[in-house]
Amino acid sequence: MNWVALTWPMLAAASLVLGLVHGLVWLSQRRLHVHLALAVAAFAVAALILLEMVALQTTAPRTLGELIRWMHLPVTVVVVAMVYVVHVSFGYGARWLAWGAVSLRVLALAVNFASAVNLNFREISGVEQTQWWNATVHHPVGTLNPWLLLTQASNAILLVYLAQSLFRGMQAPETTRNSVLVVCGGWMLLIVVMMTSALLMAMGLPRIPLTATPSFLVVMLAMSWQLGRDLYRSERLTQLLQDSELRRLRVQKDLELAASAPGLGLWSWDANGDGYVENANNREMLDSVPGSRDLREALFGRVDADEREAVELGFAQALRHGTWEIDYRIVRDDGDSRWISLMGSVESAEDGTPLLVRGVTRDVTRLKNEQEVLRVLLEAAPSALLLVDASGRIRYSNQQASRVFGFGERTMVGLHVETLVPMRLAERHLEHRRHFAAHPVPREMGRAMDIVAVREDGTEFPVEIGLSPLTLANQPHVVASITDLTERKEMEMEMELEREGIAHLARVTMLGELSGSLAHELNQPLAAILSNAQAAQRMLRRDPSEIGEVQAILGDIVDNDRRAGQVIARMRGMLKKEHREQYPLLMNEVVQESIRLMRNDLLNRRVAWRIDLSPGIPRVTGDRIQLQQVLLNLIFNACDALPAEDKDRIVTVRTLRSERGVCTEVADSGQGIPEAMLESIFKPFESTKPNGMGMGLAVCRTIVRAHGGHIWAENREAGGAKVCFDLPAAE
Amino acid sequence: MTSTVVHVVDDDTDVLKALTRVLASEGLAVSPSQSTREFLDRYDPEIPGCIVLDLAMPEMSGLELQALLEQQGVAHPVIFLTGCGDIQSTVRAMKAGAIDFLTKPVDVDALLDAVRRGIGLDLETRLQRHGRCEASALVMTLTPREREVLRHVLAGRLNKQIAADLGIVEKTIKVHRGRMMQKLGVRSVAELVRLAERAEVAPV
Repeated sequence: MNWVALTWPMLAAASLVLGLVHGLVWLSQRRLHVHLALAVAAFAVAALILLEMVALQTTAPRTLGELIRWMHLPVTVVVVAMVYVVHVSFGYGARWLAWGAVSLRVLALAVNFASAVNLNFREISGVEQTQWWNATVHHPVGTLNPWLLLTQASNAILLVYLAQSLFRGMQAPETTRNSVLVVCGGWMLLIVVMMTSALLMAMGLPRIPLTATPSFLVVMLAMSWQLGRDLYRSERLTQLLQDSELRRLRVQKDLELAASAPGLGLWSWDANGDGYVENANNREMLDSVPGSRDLREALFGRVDADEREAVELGFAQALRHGTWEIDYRIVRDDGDSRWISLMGSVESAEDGTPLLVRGVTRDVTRLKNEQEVLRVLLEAAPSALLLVDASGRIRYSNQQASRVFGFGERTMVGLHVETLVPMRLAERHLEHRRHFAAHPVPREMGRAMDIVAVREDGTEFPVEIGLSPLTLANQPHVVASITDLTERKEMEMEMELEREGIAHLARVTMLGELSGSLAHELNQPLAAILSNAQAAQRMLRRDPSEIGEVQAILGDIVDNDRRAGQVIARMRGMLKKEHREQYPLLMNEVVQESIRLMRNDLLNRRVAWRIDLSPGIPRVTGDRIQLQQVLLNLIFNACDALPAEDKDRIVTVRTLRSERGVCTEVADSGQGIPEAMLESIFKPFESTKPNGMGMGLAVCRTIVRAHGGHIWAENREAGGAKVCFDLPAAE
Repeated sequence: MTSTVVHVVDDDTDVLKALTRVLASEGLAVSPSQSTREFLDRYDPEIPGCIVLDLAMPEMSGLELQALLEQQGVAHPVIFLTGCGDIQSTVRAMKAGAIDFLTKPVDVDALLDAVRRGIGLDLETRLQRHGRCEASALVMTLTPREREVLRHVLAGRLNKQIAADLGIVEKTIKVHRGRMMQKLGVRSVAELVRLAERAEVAPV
């Protein structure tokens, strides 16, 4: 056995196997015709190899000639098949070239069978032997058939075709480039080899073992490898596709589940596909006619005729954006009115026509109702409400706000909040706003800050403002609640006047009680004046030159008169209605004056008094008469509380320094005040006296409070009670 | 008269000064006090005079002072001055023995009149007291027997009768009588009777 006899069958077998493989591939995936072509080619190559092998061993010229003739058949088959494969795989070459090459080949085949011997030889004269290494091979010699040129022409065209494919293929991406290079390049090489082989044979030089046959195999293998790779890739892609398809199905299922549970409707509309598709929920929610495929009819079929056009227009406009959202109302078959909210995505063509719309449907009736309720609530709220954004612009105002600020029925939205503040306060207000924005804590800007607002017509009015910070759409906002204080202020003023009236009344009453004391106080200086004057008269009568003495007397008379005048003035002071003077006073002086006023009264009542005045106490700011009124009242009360026994009738007035300023105490040595009444005695109309009006302590409290202090009652350890009032020191 | 003193007690400085002035302008010696305590400190019950008292004063009122003085057995006459004259106070004061009750502003004549009356009264009272004291002292010098005789004489008994009453001889009675009258410094029975009255000796 020589190596040819060994190798050639092996090659044929390999080709057969290749053919089988690709044939099986084609059988499993009928679509891939290239594999069939390759299989056919492989089988043809196998046949060719075997024929060649026999041809190489044949000695008889006639047999050789026949063999060669039959060899052309598988060659043609292979060429046709390979062209088909290359063209289908790459498709770079020009079609007509491919057809040209193929048709020439077929023609050559026809000629081959038509001719006497075969395409190669006109006639074979003999068979010669050559040595390919240790193998003896035979080859024919004879006259060449000129029709052989057909095959060469076919080859040439094929070369061109392949060159073109190769050239174009080089510009393709890497993977394809490699394939093209291998296949076309190899194929071209093969053709060159074939042509060379034919030429050599014609020239009678068979010494070089250049036969096309093994070369065919090489090319086949290249193609096979190429196709194999494609196959593998396509398998992988198929697998991936299957996986993604599975996933998609699963996701869709999940979505369906998700949507069906809380009552979401899902729908999609594909211009190029199935049209309008919806899930059961959607149909249910929109109460659409089942089976309707028109998008607009399905979505808006139940919209009220009046609103339909506007809604559809709104929808069309919304679809201009990649993600869209609209709300509208429908009336169901049973008459129920519901609010529907649609939102979703849309893919549009370049000109804006929607190609694919997907949507989610929700029934937002309850939400809308809640919103409506909220809106109505806000509108009906008794206080004026404003929502102001970070830049100071009003985003929302309720009806009450419009009314309070004099805008009537118009809304205040869009106005700048600074326009609601009078010009002179605008800057301060701006600062307040900035400060609030920096420290957003809910705050009541109360009366203490004397806030004044201005109406649309320019009139000013006092207000109380409450502020709350709020975040809306990730932006800081402020909600302001505004109360018009005009009425309240008026009432306050009225009350103030009333209070003054009552205090005055109490003073006048007290004056009545003090009348004895006052009369006495007036009497003393008058008595002194009389005695002094009469003394002077007598002195002059006795000795008219005693002027010096008389001058002294006159001086004393003037002093006495002044003293009387003071008493009158004090009385007048108490009778005056209005008292709002604020001077720095020494409580010690006020105490002494009050005692002086009451002195006679105290003596008449057989009340002993003690005064304990701290020397270093600060001054307090207040009205002298009013504070005196308080002291007198307290001392009178103390006197009334004293027991009948003479030895225990003591009233003590004390002043001391306190934390805030000065504390004044009026203590009695009576029975004390019952625990439960310590607070209530300050209430108006609470009196322990049978004929009392109960106003005294109430008025005292009002006065003390108006001075910024507070008043309270305590029981003393030693027995008896004391009433103390604490006043802040003057600044 | 110059040894008399008028006390003025009033807690009001102006009034005190004025009253003192006006009384002094009449040549009276005035002792002013601004409070009852001050008055008690400087008060000498032996010096004759009277007291002008303000009714309404802290600590001890005028009335209280008067009561105190009376308790102590002092007889200075008291004149009350007051800024307000209510009937109750007046009646109380007069019942307590004040010689007058004046209201402020007080006319100087009214005041002086009252003061003079007061002084006069005081002097007389002292005189009387003085007399009483003297008589009592003289009576103390008598022996028991002489005293007995005195009492009988006061009863208007004759010597004979006294002798019979006491069981002594008439002559002895005469001797006692003579000695008694000598001791007492009287010359007639009428004088004796007057002295005995002053001494508060009771007839038998």
